[in-house]
Amino acid sequence: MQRNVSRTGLVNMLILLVSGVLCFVFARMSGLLAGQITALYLGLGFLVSVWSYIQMRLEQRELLERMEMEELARSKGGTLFERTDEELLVAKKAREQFEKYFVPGFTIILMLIEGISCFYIYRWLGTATFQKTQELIALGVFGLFGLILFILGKYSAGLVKLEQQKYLSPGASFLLLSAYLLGANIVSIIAFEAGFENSDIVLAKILTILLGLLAVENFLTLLLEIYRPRVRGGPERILYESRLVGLLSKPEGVVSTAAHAIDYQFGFKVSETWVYKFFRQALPLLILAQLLALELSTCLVVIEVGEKGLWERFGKPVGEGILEPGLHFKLPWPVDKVRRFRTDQVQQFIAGMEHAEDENHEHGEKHKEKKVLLWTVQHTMKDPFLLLVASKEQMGAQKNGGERRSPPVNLLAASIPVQYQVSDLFAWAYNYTEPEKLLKHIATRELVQYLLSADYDEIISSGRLRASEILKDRIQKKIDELKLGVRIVNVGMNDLHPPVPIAPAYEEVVSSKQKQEAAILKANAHAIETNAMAIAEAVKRTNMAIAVSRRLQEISAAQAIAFTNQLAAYRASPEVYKLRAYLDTLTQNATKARKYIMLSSNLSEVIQFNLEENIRPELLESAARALKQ
Amino acid sequence: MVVGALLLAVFFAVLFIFQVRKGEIAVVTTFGKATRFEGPGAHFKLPWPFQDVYKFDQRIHSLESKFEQVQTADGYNLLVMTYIGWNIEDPRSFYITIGSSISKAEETLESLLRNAYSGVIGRHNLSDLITSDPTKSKFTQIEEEILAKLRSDLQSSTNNYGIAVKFLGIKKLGLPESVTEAVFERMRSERQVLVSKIQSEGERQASEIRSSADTESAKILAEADAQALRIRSLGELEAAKTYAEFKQEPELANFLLSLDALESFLKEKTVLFLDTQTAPLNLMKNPLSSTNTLGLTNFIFKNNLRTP
Repeated sequence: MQRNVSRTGLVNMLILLVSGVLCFVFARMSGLLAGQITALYLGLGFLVSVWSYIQMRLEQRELLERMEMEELARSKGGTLFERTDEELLVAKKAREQFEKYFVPGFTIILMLIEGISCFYIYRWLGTATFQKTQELIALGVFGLFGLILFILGKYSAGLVKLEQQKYLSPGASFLLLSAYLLGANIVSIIAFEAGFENSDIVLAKILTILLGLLAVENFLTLLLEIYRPRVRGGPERILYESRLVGLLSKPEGVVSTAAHAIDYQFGFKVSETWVYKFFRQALPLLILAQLLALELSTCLVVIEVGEKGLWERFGKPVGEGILEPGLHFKLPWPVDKVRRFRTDQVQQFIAGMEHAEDENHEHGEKHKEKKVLLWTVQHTMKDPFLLLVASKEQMGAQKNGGERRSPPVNLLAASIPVQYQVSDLFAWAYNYTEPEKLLKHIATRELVQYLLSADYDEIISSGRLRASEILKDRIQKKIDELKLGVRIVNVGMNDLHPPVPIAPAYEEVVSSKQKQEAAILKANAHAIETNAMAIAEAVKRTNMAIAVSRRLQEISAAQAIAFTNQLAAYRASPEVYKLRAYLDTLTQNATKARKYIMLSSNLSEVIQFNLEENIRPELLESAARALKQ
Repeated sequence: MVVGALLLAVFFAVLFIFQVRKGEIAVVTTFGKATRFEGPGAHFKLPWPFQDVYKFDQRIHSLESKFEQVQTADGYNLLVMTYIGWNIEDPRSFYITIGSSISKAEETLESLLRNAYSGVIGRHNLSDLITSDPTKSKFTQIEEEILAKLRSDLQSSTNNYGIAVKFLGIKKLGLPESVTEAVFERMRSERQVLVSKIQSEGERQASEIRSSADTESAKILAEADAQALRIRSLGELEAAKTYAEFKQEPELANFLLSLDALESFLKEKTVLFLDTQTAPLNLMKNPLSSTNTLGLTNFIFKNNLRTP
């Protein structure tokens, strides 16, 4: 019987390996994501069954060794080896060493494989696109291997129960789990064929999450193993055997698996309590009731404010087919289906460049930072789409035979929010597969066409409002033509500006206009000041002339009167009068003048009355010359 | 037992019934041959491998081409992106030529679309697309030409894809990176020219205003000077009327005027060089002489002299 068990373990191992490789090849060929992940589970099952097979072989060797030792002891008839038999049990020591080091080590490796695979596969699923081809062949292969794995799994599980061969249990659990996963893959392929195109990716994601759960379970098992109370002679469970795998491979034993886990962890029989017994009996009914409640809940539909629903029965609209906000009743899924649309809510998309949003993730909240939007600072996505605008100057230059260097266009950065409402739900839902995408195409096309012939300087300044109206009309006309069922609410032209690299040049133009204004204002100030000063000076000069003139007249008149009096004195004694007048004048007016008296007998001799300052030599010489003459 | 029966019912429903939604059409194949077409509603089919169902969405699909570089007839490089609206008009032909895959149809369409727009734009000059005069723009005409070319390629006798292209639009026009840099440089230069023009215009206007102000100022001062001169001359004219009095004794008048002038000179900072023959210094030489004359000819004066 031992040989039979050992052979079963080996067969399980090989079947898991072969089915894993073939399932991966066919899943890859057919583009089935879930099938490829199922192959990974088969691989994990292979590793687990290899390890449990080694453990099983070590235990068999230990048993054989013990039997040999007992036989030897009996044949010697004494207690010769009683003291040393523990040292001679090599196989036992080998098993103990294996369980002490290799089993926890393998459990850690298993946990890492599951955790890392979960992380990378989930990321891969976000980008992976596979074209589904020949999925029906894969369906056949999965069915075949599923059946083989199920039969072998059931057989091995039976052996575990009958022969108490616990080392077959991990492999048997993985065989059954893999069989069920292949079954799920078959259901997924059928669903895909029935029109549920996301069935494969949904299953793939579920399997990936399950991988993560297995990794977490392994981690917790390792952690709890440290604190678990050891009962001497009590059962030791296999560390790397997953309870979750056991649960999934034997769904009928959900409660018993849970009870065994609690029994093992706490060291007393929870499974003998009344709570356990009640749940074991009522669980199937509870699950059925839950499923029924779930199905019945699909009969109720609540349409929120701002929404409308499209009501379909077997794909055809029911009656008028549109549900207004409120509570509605329908036949259960999949007979009746309701699709919701945000019709009254104003929705928005950006034609041109998307804004780069600063997101602050502090305290786990997504917060848009309000910041100043400048032409000179990049506030859109890293690789902006620049729109072309005809350059009048360049076109004129080229028409006049100018040298052709760059295309006669200017570039404009534009981020135009377009707001819209769904006005005709039937047209919106049934005329186009991707109406939002088409709406964005149309809006961008109209923007591009309009800007090609627009006036660059006008569009970034005074022409914005006009451009907004024109674009709104053009987009509306086009979508009416194509029966898209949309009403354009607003086209915002609030983010039109020169591209960031040349924005400083545009700012320089504005700045130079300001400088021009400043220069003119300064000149005006100068003019005002100059004119005012000139007028003031003119008045001053005129007034001065008036004063001088007046003085001249007055003094002349006074001199005439004085002359009459002086004439009489003069006529009395002309010489005396003249000397007196001269000396009076000299004494009255020359008192403060510096005086040098030149001796006529010695012209080089100078008498200075004032010794504080020296006379300049040239002055003295000129005075001497005059005296000589 | 009940659960098993329910699951079995669901399983059979999936195998034998299929739904077609509004806007879709289903092709039912029996042993690989298209045998019937079904519109919206629930329909019966035999399970695989006897019958298979392929559903096609007959609504209009949007397809966007790549942002691709093309060359215009006059040698300019442009980046062009177009979009089309297409639908499956003939499901049988579509199933035969394309199969059941929409993405494969889009690959085929994109290839034909690229061929169409690169060919059509290559026949036009850049000014047909980009012009400052909207009446001369051939933007819509070029779109129509691309659409016509695409339709003719699709409906050629050898390749009937069962696809109808409903509309086409040019979504984006751009420039390659190197050309973009050149355009940036030119735009910068244009702005620089504008800056120089504005600044020099400002300086010109300021200079004009200043020189006008200076001229006006000079004119005002000149007029004031003329007025002052007139006022002074009138004053002198008035003063001259008193000269008749001086005619009685011109020598005395001249002497007095000279004295006045001397008085004025002496009021300023003056250095006098006097010799001993000049009155009253002649007293220093011959204090007892009573015949000493004025000696005015020996009188020397110098105005505004400053000693070093």
